[in-house]
Amino acid sequence: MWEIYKKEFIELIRDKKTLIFTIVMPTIVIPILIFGMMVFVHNVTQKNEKEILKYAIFNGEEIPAITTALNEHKKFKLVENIAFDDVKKAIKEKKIKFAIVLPEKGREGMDKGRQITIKLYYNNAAFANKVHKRVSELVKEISTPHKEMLFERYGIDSDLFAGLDEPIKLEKKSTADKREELGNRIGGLLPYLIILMCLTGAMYPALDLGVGEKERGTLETLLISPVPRSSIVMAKFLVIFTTSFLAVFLEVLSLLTMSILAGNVAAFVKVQEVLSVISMLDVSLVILMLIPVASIFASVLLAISIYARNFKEAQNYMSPMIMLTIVPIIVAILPGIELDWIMASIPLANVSLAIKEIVKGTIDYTMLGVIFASTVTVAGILLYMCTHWFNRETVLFRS
Amino acid sequence: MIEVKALSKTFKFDKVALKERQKKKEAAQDPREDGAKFHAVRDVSFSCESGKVLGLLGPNGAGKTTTLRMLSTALQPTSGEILIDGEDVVAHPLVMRKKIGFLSGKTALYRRLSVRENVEYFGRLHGMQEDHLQSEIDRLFDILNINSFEHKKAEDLSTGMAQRANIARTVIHQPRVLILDEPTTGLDVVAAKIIMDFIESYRGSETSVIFSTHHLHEVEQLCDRVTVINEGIASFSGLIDEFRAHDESGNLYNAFLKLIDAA
Repeated sequence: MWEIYKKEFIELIRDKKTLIFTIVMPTIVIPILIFGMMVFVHNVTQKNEKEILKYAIFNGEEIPAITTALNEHKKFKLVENIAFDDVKKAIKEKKIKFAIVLPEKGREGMDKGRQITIKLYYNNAAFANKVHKRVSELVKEISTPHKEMLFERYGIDSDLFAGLDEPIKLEKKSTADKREELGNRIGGLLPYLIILMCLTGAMYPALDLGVGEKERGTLETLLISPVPRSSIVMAKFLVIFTTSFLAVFLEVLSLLTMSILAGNVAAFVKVQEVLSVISMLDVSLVILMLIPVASIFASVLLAISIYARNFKEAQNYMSPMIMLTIVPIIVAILPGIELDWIMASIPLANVSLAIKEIVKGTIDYTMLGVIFASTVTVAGILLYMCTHWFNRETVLFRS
Repeated sequence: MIEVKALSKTFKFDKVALKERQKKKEAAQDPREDGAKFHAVRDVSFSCESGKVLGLLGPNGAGKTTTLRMLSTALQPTSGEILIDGEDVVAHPLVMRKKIGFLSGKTALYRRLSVRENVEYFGRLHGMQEDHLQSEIDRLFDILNINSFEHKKAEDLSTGMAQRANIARTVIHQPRVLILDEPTTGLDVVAAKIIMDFIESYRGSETSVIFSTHHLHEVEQLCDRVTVINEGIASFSGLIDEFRAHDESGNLYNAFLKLIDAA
């Protein structure tokens, strides 16, 4: 068996496609994409916060305080001569970022202590939009001192007003520590990345070692050697498992290295915060959980590859595998989905949730043991079925 | 010595193939078809002693390759016996594979391995000791004139080079029975000559050679015995002279055509 394993591995690493999918993709392409995306999102957010927002104002004379504050603010720039009916078009054509409409008799209403409504027109669908936040901050700067002035004028005690306005206030006190909070955000993404890489890392080698051998005519040469079929399957399974696991290992290693090398890049500060509290035990547990996952992928993909008549047919069978893998992972990272005994029984979803819980530092170790055992069992059954498949003439010589 | 007794192989059509065949009405034309079953080889018997060469003849689709694949243990017979030196091949395929060398159009070399690596790999799978393996490789590479391209990857070889390398792969473990399915097909005259000479070198050795071919001059040159298979049945099995006697003028082509009822 090890002779076959060694040979299959040598052949695979001499293949450029395998090298691309197993080494280059996880170590270079994926981390660069993730790194690039994080830096991009961070830069866009920063840019939006610093950007000088062009605006139009209507009924500006009604509340001079707001008009003046906008005019004098360095990050806002007034654009004149825009008709109210053209606001939507002007925003679409990027002549302005927003338009603000002050109510008629606004000053009169404010003076009388009434609540007035200012309308803000902006493109809420735009990515990472900060218009509402920035205008709200400016309005608050005027609204707060005005409120204090009114309290004083009418002799209202601010505490009494707070009690009248909201007799009972509910104050949030999160028991989640920093790791749990950050882990909840990042922990959802991690299983998605690593489980999919586990699948991608196994896919090409599985094609090559199964249907690839059939097409090239080397499978029959191997089948007539004095090696039990179970050893042939086991050797091929182990090679696919190795490449799958290697792809994930390299991906995680590359992401960790990139995060460390990123140093003080603001986009990675939160990632580094999470990494700083994750212990080696947690990393080992995540890797441990991936062993049965890689085994499941290796056995299913090898079985498909052996069954298929040709490369194209195998690819057709394997495509739904991506969907079947993504769905349980996505379900697992949906808000409100927690790791309970039902979720623990769903293959892949259970591992996905377990990885998230490990990153958050809230994993129930009993449940982790059960998930590991059940996933190993599923992998074992699939491997057995793959071996059974490999002993059937109708599968091996299907044409 | 290899003995083949009443060997049969039946395949089952899958549903798609069956429907397609029924549409084409192929069933009515082929006597081997029986509903969802296809009797590819029926009750075939022959034998070949050590040091002798047996030629397996028959038109395309007659069942030659299926027969040879059963002899190689790639396929399991539906019924019948295959004995090598009296030992049952079907009952003990793992052990018997060490005694069999099989080459066909479907037993290729690993493209990304060099010729030497390919032969070494199969030698090791047959449990050969490293020293013995290396000396045997050197001997075979000399005979088959492989030395000049032994480090070339199989994907870079010409058809003739690949076939010689494949022969080396087939015989590296010194099999007791050598099974070659159309070994000279697609080769140029020089490469075919090397392979023919190589097969001939087994005459008088401890190895039985069975090879299928469409070239009757190869049968004339090499074979001690001939078996003709037509529509899955052995229509003739005997000595080369008995085969030749089926034509008054002793012409092998005419004898063959008579035996397959095509003359």
